[in-house]
Amino acid sequence: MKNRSFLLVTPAIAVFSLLFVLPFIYFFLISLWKIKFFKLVRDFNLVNYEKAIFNYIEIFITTYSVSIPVAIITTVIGFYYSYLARFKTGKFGSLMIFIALITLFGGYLMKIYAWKTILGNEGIINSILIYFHIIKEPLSFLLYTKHGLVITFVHFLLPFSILPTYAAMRGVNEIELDSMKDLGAKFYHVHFMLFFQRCRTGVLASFVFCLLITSGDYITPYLIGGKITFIGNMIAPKFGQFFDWPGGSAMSFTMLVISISIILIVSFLFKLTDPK
Amino acid sequence: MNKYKSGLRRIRNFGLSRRNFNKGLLGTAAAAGLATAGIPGTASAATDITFLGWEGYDAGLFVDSYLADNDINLNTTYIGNNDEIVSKLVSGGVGTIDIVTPYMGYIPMMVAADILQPIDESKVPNLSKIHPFFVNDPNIIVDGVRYGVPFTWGCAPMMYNTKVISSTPESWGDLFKPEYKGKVGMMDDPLGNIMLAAVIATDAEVATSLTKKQLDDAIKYLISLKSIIRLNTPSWGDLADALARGDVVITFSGWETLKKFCVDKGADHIDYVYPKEGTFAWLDTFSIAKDAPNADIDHKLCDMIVDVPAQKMIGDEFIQGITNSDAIAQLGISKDYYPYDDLDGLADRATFFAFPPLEEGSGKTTFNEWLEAYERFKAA
Repeated sequence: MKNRSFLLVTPAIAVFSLLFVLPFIYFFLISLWKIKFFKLVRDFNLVNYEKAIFNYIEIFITTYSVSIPVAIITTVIGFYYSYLARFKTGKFGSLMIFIALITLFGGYLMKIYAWKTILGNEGIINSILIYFHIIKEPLSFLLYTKHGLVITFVHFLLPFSILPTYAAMRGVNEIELDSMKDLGAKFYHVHFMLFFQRCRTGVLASFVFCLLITSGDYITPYLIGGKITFIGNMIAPKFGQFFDWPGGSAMSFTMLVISISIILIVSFLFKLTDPK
Repeated sequence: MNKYKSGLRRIRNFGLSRRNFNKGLLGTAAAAGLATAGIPGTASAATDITFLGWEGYDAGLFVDSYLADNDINLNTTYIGNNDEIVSKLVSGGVGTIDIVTPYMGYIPMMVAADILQPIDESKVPNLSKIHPFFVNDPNIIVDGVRYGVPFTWGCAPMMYNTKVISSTPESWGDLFKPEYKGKVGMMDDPLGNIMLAAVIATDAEVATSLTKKQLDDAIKYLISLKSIIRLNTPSWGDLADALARGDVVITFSGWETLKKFCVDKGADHIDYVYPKEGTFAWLDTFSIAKDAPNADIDHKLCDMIVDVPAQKMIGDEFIQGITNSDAIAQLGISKDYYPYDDLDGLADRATFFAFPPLEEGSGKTTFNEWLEAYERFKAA
């Protein structure tokens, strides 16, 4: 029986090893090498990590100054969207989830260009405001700024937040909530319990998805961020334009360590809310 | 100084317009269709030619039926920037890739890396029709041997919105006028941006031969642009989009064809000018990779791309600068988008610069130092 179970899981392990673990190890190794005239040289050193940390610290700060708020905002909105779908809208709850998921079929780039159309100088928002004489000049802070980036990221990531939080809420019985209210629990008691304790896994999964996708993105900052540079914008040309795979790998692993650290800190903070 | 002896230009990260993209697709579809049409009734296997270059640069090869008649499949891989050509060739592409389309500034480096093979000029008779402004650029001919066939070119002018800016700007310094703050656009092009910054803000005679201090001055200039620019786009298509939408009204660097991109987007009020400080020019070539599997066919394709039909197509359909004098004379409305009537005068406004040094020791900053310096601009 045990052997049979192992056999069944073997394909998954093989695929995971081949497509994730081995490339992971390879890129970690070359992050310790260097490049000379477009060729990799096996010269083990930590120079790439030193550069990744000290040369790009401001870009890491910019990246996480957007991706952490995006992860928090998206998770909170996703949580309350799921809450409405699970507990407040009855049979229309499934329709809400369907609507959220159907937006995934729209495609990533289409959403970016849609927001460019909405937020631009001659976009929908500015055109309406100017038409009704609310403003005279277009609001330029809407696009090519951090505001525009956050709006676009939140819209794109909402389905990734709603899915895990809604799945977690399905494990919560409505009777539990009614009992809490009958025993005098206030609105915030109920929501604190749901957010930090009963749905913790889903909420954390949502935060992790949003943080990792945002911090690793380089297309959205390029197209929506104007002159804002994310660390992904520096990593991508390392692998293509500059042919500096060691440098790009070291920057990627540095980003990974920072992201994992943030996730561990958030996870720890959640644990602090456990009842004593 | 001989005006026709020159150096080169920038990395072209441009994204083609939707129109060109569609044409690329049509070209690919045509290739597939023609190749398929050639298969029935023949016992011989088709010849596969591997093409690595900018999207659309292969389109000129389909203006006649040569590929179909000779049962040739053109396997295309489109690049996002010129460096991809080098990186793909050095990482296993030699021996499998036939045609590449580097801009001429890359050619000395690629010859040094031993990833290009010489062009046999006797197999490219249309070289004689290429305008002298382009044909013998010293970057293409290394140690007396030709490594590229120049087929398209352009410069880096300043683009501006004529609805907002009524009098034509004269200087790159106009970018810093208070009324344009936050309305300036640029394209994320490391080599081109440093070259142009060097032209504007340093005393370097050759914008690609910079001392450490001159490079620092160029980067400081670029960093100073950050206070006035609204966006630094990944492609020319996105910059044209921003110009057409009115998100930016003036640009640092540009490309003549952007004017056409904007017209296609319904904005016929975007024009360009070569400011008095000057700018740089660029030239793209058809080159043959080292150990290319089909060198004879590759030479034929190099000849085709500078023949009149292909050149007319590149000029009239893609609105790109062309090099064949006979084709230039036959261009239609697209002739207005480029200063063909005054190519001699162009040399006074736009310069072809050689590529920055690759190895240390010349006392000048190397290309790698440029890339590292450019990251300071990105990070600022």
